[in-house]
Amino acid sequence: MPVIRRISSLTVILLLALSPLPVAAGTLDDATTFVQNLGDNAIEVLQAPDSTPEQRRVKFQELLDRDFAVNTIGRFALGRYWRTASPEQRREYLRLFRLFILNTYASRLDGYSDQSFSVVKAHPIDDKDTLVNTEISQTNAQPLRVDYRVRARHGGYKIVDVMVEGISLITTQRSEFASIINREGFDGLLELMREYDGDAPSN
Amino acid sequence: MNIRKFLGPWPARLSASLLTVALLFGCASPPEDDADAQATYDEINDPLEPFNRAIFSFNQFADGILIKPIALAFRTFVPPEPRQGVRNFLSNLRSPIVLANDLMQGEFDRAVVTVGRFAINSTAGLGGLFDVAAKFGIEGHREDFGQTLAIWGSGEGPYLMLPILGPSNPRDVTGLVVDGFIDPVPYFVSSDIQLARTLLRGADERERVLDALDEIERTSLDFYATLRSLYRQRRADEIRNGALAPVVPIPAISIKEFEDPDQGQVSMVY
Repeated sequence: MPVIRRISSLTVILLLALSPLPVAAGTLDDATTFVQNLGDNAIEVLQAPDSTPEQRRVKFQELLDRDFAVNTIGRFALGRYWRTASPEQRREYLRLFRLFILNTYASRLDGYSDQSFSVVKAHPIDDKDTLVNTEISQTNAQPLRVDYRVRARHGGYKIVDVMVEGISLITTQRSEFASIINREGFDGLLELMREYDGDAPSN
Repeated sequence: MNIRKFLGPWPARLSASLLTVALLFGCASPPEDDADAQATYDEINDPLEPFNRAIFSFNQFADGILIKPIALAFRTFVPPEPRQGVRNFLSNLRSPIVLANDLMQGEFDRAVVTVGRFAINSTAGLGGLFDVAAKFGIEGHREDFGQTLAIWGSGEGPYLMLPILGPSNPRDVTGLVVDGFIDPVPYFVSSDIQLARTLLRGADERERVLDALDEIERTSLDFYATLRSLYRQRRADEIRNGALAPVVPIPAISIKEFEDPDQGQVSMVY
């Protein structure tokens, strides 16, 4: 039905042209939905009956690659040393960084089996990013505050930072890496990461 | 520089003597003319790092042979309900300190909450053993004089690793001392009871973080550096009372950053 199609696309164009505000409001809702879905997915993975740590790790890897801006986070975590690194060093570092995040957080997830998760609210923090506040309920304690900083990209969203009780994942990581590089150099950091990841150099 | 900023408003004798001790161990020297390096140095805020790391090694040792075993025994031999009771009781006893700091920070709404909780929990909560107020939706919060000093505009000063007590800074050390004077409990009980209270609090605080600390140690490349960052961020969050942290720019990564004349293909971009 070409006529109907033409009318509906015309309507869309008109709507977009006449009302920029609903689009902005939609972004907040979209970011909220994105985090809600991610949380639901994560809980599904954690609470899947009879799943082995390996299965959970694979699922976590899928979530990580799909929903996290791992390389942007990795670059931030390297701080000023990113600029002086060569393209090969950058690639090798990012490869190790992804494994590092995977190894660290896949195992951390095992502790969170019977908790529930809810989005509290979302607010824009700059022209690209939205902060989505969530809570994880805990028995015998106040709910845990977990905030996701999400960035609109290529029509979807990616997480660029996670803050637990005000403690930022990327800030902590950058601080740790800076300390290691100060003491042992960039190669020292790569060496430690390889050791941690149980991994040999890629080339 | 941070030390000067700290010594400016309130030069404490304690920090001066700590600095002297630190100098004996040697300081990490500030970078000379590199602005980036200076920024990293300021961000890490740990000019006494060699000294602090030495204390940290000692703490790790003391924790391994004494403190952690006590916390584990506390967890193993005391069931969760009585442990929660102990925690509630100790936290209720701190109400006067929290109240004084609420007031000194001008947080009158929070001060009312603190008084209300103390009244409810000390009576209906059987002397503070049960957190009845929280069941009515009146949640507790922590305050201390270190946070009050921050609200009053004092800088944190250089990071300090205290023996046994762990991560701190001159502002929080001062806070500990002042809170000790504010605390009315020691005026009413014998020093033995006060000592027992302190030890029990230590066991409780260590028990709370048993799993978290093990996990952080296992997943850190540099446990000392990770703890330092966690402590500073946690304190900043407590001072803000959970309000939004300042936004740090996180630049997006681009394909250009992997451009490599030898290798045409770029496999990982994001």
